[in-house]
Amino acid sequence: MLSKLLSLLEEGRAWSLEDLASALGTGVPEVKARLEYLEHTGKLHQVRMAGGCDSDCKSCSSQCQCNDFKMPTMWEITK
Amino acid sequence: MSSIKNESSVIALLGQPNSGKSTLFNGLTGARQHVGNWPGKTVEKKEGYYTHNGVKYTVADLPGTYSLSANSEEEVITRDYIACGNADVVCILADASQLQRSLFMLADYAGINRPVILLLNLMDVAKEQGKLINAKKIEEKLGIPVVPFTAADKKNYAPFYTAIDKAFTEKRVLNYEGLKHAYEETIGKIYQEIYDLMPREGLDEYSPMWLAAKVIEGDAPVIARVKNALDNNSKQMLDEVLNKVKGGSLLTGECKFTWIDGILQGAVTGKKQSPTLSGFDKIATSKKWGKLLAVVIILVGLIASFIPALPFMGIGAIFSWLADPIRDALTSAGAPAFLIGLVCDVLINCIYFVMSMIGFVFGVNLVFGLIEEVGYMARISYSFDNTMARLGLQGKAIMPFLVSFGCTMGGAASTRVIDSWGQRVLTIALAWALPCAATWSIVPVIAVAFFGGWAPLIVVIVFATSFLIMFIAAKVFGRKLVSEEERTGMIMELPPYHKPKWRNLLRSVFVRTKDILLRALRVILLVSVIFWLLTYSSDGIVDNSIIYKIGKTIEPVTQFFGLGWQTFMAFICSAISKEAALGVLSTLFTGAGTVFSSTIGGGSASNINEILVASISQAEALAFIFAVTFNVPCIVALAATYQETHSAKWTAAMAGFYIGTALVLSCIVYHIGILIF
Repeated sequence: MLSKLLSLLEEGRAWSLEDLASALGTGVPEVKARLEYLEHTGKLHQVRMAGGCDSDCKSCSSQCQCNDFKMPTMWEITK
Repeated sequence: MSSIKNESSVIALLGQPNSGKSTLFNGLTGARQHVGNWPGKTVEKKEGYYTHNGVKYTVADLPGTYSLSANSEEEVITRDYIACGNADVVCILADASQLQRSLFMLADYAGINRPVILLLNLMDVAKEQGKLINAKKIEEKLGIPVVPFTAADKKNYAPFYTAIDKAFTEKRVLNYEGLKHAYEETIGKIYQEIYDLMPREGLDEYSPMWLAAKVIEGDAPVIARVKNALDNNSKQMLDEVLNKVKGGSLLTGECKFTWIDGILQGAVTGKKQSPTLSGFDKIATSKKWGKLLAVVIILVGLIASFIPALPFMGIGAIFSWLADPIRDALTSAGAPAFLIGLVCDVLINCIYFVMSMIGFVFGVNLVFGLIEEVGYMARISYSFDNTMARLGLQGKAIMPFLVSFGCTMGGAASTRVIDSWGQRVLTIALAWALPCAATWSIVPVIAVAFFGGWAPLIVVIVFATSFLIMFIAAKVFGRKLVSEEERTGMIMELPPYHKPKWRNLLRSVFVRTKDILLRALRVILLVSVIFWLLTYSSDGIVDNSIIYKIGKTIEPVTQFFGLGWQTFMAFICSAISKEAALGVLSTLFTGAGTVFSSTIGGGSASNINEILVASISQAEALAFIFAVTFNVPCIVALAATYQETHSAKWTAAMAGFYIGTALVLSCIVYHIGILIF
C-alpha cells in the first residue's frame, strides 16, 4: 500500500485523504498512519507555511496578515 | 507494616510523543523523580520510582519517539537502553483513539526479546469516538498483557499494577510470528537471505528477525553492528544482498502495517471513519462541479459583502456634507486659505473615501473569513487543483493565491513553500492578477459611485477577468519557467465542516479591517497632500500648476486608453499603492485646482461622489476600474517579488506585462463602455 500510495502521488494530482483511502481500498485512519510513516522515513513531507515568511508577524512591517490564513494540511513527495 | 525490598525492578516507558508517557510517569512517581541527561548526550533522561506491594520499582521515562529506527539520537538511545537489558519490563504506550498509527512503535519493537506490556492509553477519548476495543483479543494475538486505561486517571491504576506484577512474574515477550510471516511473504527471498546471515542468537536483546528488518531498512548502526559479528565471507554476501534491496523501509513498513491491521481486525469495533464523502462534499470536491460551486459561493459572497458596506458609506457621506459648513466656519474665523483647503479639500475627502471603502473591506473579509472558518476554503483549494495543473503550477500554489487575496506582498512571500524557482516565479506572476484587499476596497467604492445598483455586476466582471488574466499570464510566462515534470502530487487533509466561531471570526475581521483602514488613511492622506501641493501655482491659476501642465501634455496619449489625465495620474499612483488612486482622484477633482480657489470639477457640488460623477464619464470610470485593478499591485509587492525571485529581469517583465495588460484592458473596456452608456 505504501508503494501504491507513492505511485498515486507521482501521477501529479491532488488527493484528499478520503479519495486516497478509497483508491487504496482502506480507511482514512489507515492512510493517515501510513502518511506519518512515510513522513518519518523522509519519503513525504508536510507543506508548512508559517505565513510564508520566517519571522513572526509581530515583527513584520508588511501588515499583510498572511498568517491569518488557515491552510489545509498538505503532504507532498520529497524530491 | 510491610517492608520495602531494597533491590529495584526497572520499568521503561516507551511510546510515541503524546502517547501519555509523561502523564503516567508523573502519576507513578510523583515528586520522586530525577532529571538529568543521558551519558554524553544532550537528550533528557528522566527516572523516578514508586513502591507497590512492598516492591520498589524504578521507572525510566524514555524519550518520546515515533519508532526505534536510527533517524534521531533519541531513537538510538531508546533502543540501545532496552536492548542492553537495562529495563526488566518495557511498557509500551499506545493512543487508543488512533491505534493504527500509535501501534507502530509496538510493531517496530517486535523482535526485541524483553518482557513487555501494552498500555492502551486514552481509552476515554476512544470511547467518546464510539470505539470499542477488545483488549483481551489483542492480548491473545500479541501474547503479552494488554491494559486498557487512562494515564490521567490516577485512581484507576490498579489494572496497570496487576499487569506489571504479571509481567515480572511471567516475563512474556511479544509474539512476533505474524510479523515474521509478513516479512517472508512480502519481501520474500531477499528477507530470507538476509535473515539467514544474521547471528543465530541475535545481538543483545535484538532477535535475528528484528536485525534483518533493520538491515533491510538500511539502518546504518545496526548494519555496522551486524557486520562486526560476521566473518568476511558473510559480510560480502550481506553486501551483495543489500545491493538488491530497493525501498527497504517501504517493504518493512508495509509488513508492519499489515501486522497492525491484523491485530486490530475484529478487536476494534464501533464508529468507523468512512472514506466516502458526504453528498455536499462530493460536489464540493468534485473536479467538475466543485469549481462551479466555489465560483458561485465566492460571487454570492462578494455581492453579499455590499450589504455591510452600505452603513459605512452613509457615515462617509456625513463627512462629505460637513465640508461646506466647516469651510464657512473656518473662513468666518479668519483661517488662512491654505489651512481651509487642506482641511476641506484634502482631509475631509480622505476620510470620506476611507469610510466608504472600509465597509467593503469589512464585508469581503467577513465573507472570506466565514468560508475559511466553516472549513470550505480547503475544498476550494482541492477542487481547483487540476486548474493549477493547467496553469503549469503545483497544487500547493493555492497557498500563495489565497494569501494574495489579502495582500500580494504576503502572497509573494508565501511562494517560499514552492521549491522550484521557475514555479515560484510563475506563481508570483499569476498572484499579481488576483485583486488584493486594497483593490477590493476601492473598486466597489468607484463602482457604486458610477454604476449604483449595477456595482455588484462590475465587481463580478472584474473578478472573472482576473482569472482570464491569470490564464494569459500563465501562457506568457509559463513556457520559459516551468516544465511538466516539475509537477508533483499532493495530499490534502480536508477539515471537517464546523459551525463558525463568531467571536473569533469577528475579532479577526475587525483587526484586518482596522489595519487596512489605518494604512489606507495614511496612504490616501499622504498622496492627497502631495498632489494637492502639485496643484499649487504662484498666480493662483490652475492652468499654470505643474500637475496641470504635465496632465495636459500627456492627455492625448492617455485618452487612447480611455483615461483622462487625472484618472491616468491616479492609475500611475495605484502602482505605488492601490489606495493612492483615491487620494489622487480626491485631490485632482475636488482639491480646488489651486490652493486658493476651487476651480476644477465644479466646486459647487458638496459631495465628492457628485463631483466625480460630474467630471468623469461612465465609460472612463469603467476603464479606470480595470486599469487600477490590473496595474502592478503596489510598490511593496514589487519589492517582495524581487526579493523572492532574485531577478530584476523577471520582476521587470511582470511589471511590464501588468502595466501593459491594465492599459489594454482599459482601452477595450472604455470603447465597450462608449457603446453601452
